[in-house]
Amino acid sequence: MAIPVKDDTKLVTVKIDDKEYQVPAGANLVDLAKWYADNDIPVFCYHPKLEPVGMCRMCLVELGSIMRDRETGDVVLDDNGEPTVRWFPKLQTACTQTASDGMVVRTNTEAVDETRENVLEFLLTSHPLDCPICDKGGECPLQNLTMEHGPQESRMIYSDKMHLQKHVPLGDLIFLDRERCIQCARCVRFQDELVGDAVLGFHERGRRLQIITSSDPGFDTYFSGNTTDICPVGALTTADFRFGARPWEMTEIPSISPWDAAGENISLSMRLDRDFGGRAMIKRVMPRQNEYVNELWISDKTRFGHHFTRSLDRLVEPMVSFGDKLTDQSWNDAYKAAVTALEGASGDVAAIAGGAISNEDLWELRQLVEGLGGSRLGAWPPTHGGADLVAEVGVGQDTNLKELGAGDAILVVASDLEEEVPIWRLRLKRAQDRGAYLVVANARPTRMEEFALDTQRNDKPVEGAAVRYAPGEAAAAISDLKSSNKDVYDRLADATNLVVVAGADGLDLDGNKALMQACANLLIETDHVGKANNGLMSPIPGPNGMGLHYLGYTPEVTQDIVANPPKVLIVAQAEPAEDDPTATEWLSKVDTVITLSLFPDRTTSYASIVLPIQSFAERDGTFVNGERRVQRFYTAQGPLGEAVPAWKILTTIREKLGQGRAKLSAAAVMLEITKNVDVFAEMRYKNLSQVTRQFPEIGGDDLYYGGTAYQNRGGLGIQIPSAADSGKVKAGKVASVKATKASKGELIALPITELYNRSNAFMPSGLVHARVAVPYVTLSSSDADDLGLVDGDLVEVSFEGGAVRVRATVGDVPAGVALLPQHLTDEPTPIVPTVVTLSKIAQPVLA
Amino acid sequence: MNLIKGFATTFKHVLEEPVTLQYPEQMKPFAERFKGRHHLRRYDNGLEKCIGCALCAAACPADAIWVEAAENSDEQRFSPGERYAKTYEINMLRCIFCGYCEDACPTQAIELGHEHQMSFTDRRDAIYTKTMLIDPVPEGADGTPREVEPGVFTRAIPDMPDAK
Amino acid sequence: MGVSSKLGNLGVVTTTLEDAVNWGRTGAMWPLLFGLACCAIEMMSTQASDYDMSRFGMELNRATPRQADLMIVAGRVTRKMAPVVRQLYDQMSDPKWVISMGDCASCGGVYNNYAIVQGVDEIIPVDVYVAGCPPRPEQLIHGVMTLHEKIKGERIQDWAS
Repeated sequence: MAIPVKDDTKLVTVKIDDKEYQVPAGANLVDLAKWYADNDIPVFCYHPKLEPVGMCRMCLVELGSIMRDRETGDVVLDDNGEPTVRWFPKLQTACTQTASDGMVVRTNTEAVDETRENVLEFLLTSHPLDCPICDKGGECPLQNLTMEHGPQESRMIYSDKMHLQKHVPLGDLIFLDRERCIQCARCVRFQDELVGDAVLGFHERGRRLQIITSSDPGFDTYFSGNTTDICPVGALTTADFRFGARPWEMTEIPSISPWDAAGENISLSMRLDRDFGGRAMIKRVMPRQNEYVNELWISDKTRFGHHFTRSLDRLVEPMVSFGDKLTDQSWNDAYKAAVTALEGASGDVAAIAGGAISNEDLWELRQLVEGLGGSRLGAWPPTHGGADLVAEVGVGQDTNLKELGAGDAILVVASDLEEEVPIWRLRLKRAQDRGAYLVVANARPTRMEEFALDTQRNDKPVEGAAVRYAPGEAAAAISDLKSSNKDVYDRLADATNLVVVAGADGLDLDGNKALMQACANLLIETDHVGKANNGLMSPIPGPNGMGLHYLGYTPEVTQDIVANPPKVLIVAQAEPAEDDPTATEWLSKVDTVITLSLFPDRTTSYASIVLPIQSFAERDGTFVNGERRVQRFYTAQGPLGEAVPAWKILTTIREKLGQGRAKLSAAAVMLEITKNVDVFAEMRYKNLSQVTRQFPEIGGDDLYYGGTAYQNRGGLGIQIPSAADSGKVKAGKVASVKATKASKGELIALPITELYNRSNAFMPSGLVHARVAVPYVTLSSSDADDLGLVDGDLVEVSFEGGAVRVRATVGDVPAGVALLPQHLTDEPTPIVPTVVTLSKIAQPVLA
Repeated sequence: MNLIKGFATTFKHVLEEPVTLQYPEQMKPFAERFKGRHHLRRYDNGLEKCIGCALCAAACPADAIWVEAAENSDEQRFSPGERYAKTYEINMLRCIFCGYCEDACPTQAIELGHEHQMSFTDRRDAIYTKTMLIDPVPEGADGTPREVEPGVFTRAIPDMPDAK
Repeated sequence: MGVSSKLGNLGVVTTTLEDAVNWGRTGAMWPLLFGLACCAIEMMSTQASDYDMSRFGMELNRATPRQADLMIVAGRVTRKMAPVVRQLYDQMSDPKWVISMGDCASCGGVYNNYAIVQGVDEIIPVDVYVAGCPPRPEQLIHGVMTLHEKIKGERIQDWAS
């Protein structure tokens, strides 16, 4: 895929329909005809992101090459002085052809037209007449191509069509309609090639050929929704959207995924709904093309997790507690109470902000706190440090993970990317497919490690290595890589490009900071900084983890706030008491807690003023993703109840405190940020919403080409330059880390992330509940033997600040540690490695 | 002379029967193809013909039709096939009675009848809901939703007799 | 009923003041002569001999608002026309009624655009909306009768307003 052209690309001349084009050698014919000649060759099985297979025969074209004399190499001319073309005797599939010099293509001849008509007639021989009720109807490649190229009448007898099962659940999220399937294998190939979860397959042969899922639970992958986008017919539909609306009835609003550091570009399909009070509601979430961020894909969490925006559990009215109980109040009274509390703090004000809050909110919050004489701005959760290093030696300008390939290397350390940032895992795994060397270092097995250990994939060799270190020793493992693992180190050091993803899986803040420094040092030592496709990334929780850093919120300050609680604490879209079992202790030491929250939760129960904020769908704003790309999201849904955007609440409070006039729009807040924060200087809304042409070009009328992912009309965003981009950076000292020690009979619980969990924001998406894991703790077999536990036992895990009852599983983990996933139990579990004791409650119940 | 000619015409008409139609007691017969208020039809077995495809809403030049679809099950079946109209509303004050909805309908579920006396004292009253639009259940048939044998009504556009 | 049922037929009709006044109002309602678009053709047709609105006491359309009780907004009201319609309405003497005839006057109809008032009730109070595009004379007469029904239900306290 050599489009768009780079400096070193070799160009060849290709003639398409009597016009000559200079195109990159080796480019796919379907791609280049579309990109250069604006000639849409119809396809069903071909997809620009998948390997061509030439199964559907829709792309047949007349192909030839200019004849050359064998001896002299000169072009043979005919009687008119034109070059003679040697045509293939039969039509060729364009999708399996790559550009070579002297290639001649004709797509507008009678033979091609007739073939297209015949192929369509063949596909329609037994295709059901479901268009009126089909979710794809209106944006269906088969429908569109039939209208354009197909036979005007059917010679088939309607009542004689094959009748197959119409409602086959492939797992909980996707339905298969066997009648509609045209067997293009796009879904199967997507799962095999791109995702690496080969859970779909063809079963039986000929007319009985059908798609089946081989996993239990069915279609067990985090990317299943994408298959419905690339399905060229309505065979695969999502359970979430099923019959929700017709495609032409929906308005597309560009937005950003509110879940993780990837910042997937999404498009919210809005339509009025009677059950939602006749107001616009999110009917479905579709991917929006951004080749730098998520290409055409989004994870299932992003696609199906949107229900919290209109959850009945949401806070819709401000609440104030005058004595012991929170009661609903008017905004006026709530503002009055907040102003009184803030004025009474005499400067002892601090704030903690979560990773899902936008830059505008963060700026107003910072202004408010600083205006009152406070200075403590904390980032939640206090587990991921090193955002300053990402700002320093983060991936360089114009980094695009899809450009990593042969000769490049990727290091993933202390991160379970599959669960933390699924899109990164998809794109990095793809980079490995293209030849990049993948190293995964962790204290425990992860999905990414399986990929690293693969030697062959899709009949091609892949390379990688896995490094296991003792729990908590991540920084040391990376620092000592040169001495302990010379081969791996050399491969990383000699790579053309090196991307390092360093997380906090199984680490506390100090451990994570040390690791980040070690990774930064590795990058600097091996001179992999300040260039595109080189540098550091971090899966900081929330879509705006980097925004917290750039606007002055740090986890170190959070630790300080925890140690020395202020008089008034503002908790902005963070849920400390939901995440951290020790939070109850320090939260109760704060005089007045003011929360800006989406949901009533444990944290709000400590608050005396609870202010309802709007979710990402109801407002404008910007997020900074893990690659430091500032991206803008737009208002899609009307506000729920009396919820107000956080920046508006804060700017109003500031006005009431006499800190200047309230701002009227998010754009005005952003304008102020651009003037005051250097790295945001270019980030005005107008700039953020600019779009350039992207390859592959998708989202037009040619749905058959790229699927129903949407063209980007909301902006590609702008990447904040890293410090290394503009100058030299120096390696720092890796601090030594004090590992958590457990005494006999105790284990160290390492908190791990589960993508599907029971957090307040994810729970309202009921469809995915079946996929949320039963709360569990994983421990090694030796520890299990010592404690007398077997797989499936119900155990109580006790730790400082609480205890949870979970199911014990025995797995491949180091002795002495237990993996305890966060947000699976109702009660909070530790957010940093903590000493725990396990006691058996009950035997497994045998079915 | 002209005067007489003129008065002759007048007198001629004086002797004629009055043409005035005593509406509302009398009614002029309408052309068969006159398009009045809509009806949602049923099959002979009582199932609704409407499958909630919203093509009528797409065809409507005045945006007078609002359709929300939902999924049928054999326990709760409204119409044949997988999809039925959960909400079906027509705003009679918006409708221009052009009949495009009738043309667009793949199952001939919506038909424009001859009723035309529609005036309202409130704009809200002009929104006809599905219960107002749908025909009564034919005699001897079951209403909707109803439980049916699984695997019988699998086609959205079936070959089934209309209600008489 | 009260007196006559006790004393037999005295050749006297008794009624309430409300009913008497309402009956009088329904029986002599003069529409204002003005049409805005295609609906006006049907309004003229209603006035003509075939349907003859004078059967309902609507002898003739008055060309001045001062002598009219009923405004039939027949047709689409453009934003430019809106102040005029309002002025005419204001110039009518009480009691006065408004029939919004047809889709365009009632809610903008097919003209869902910036130039057309999306329902004349944005500018004047409407008593009866008549559906149709345009409504047939029968439909307009049905609207007039709906208005009569409405007036017959009016109470003394309503008159003040």
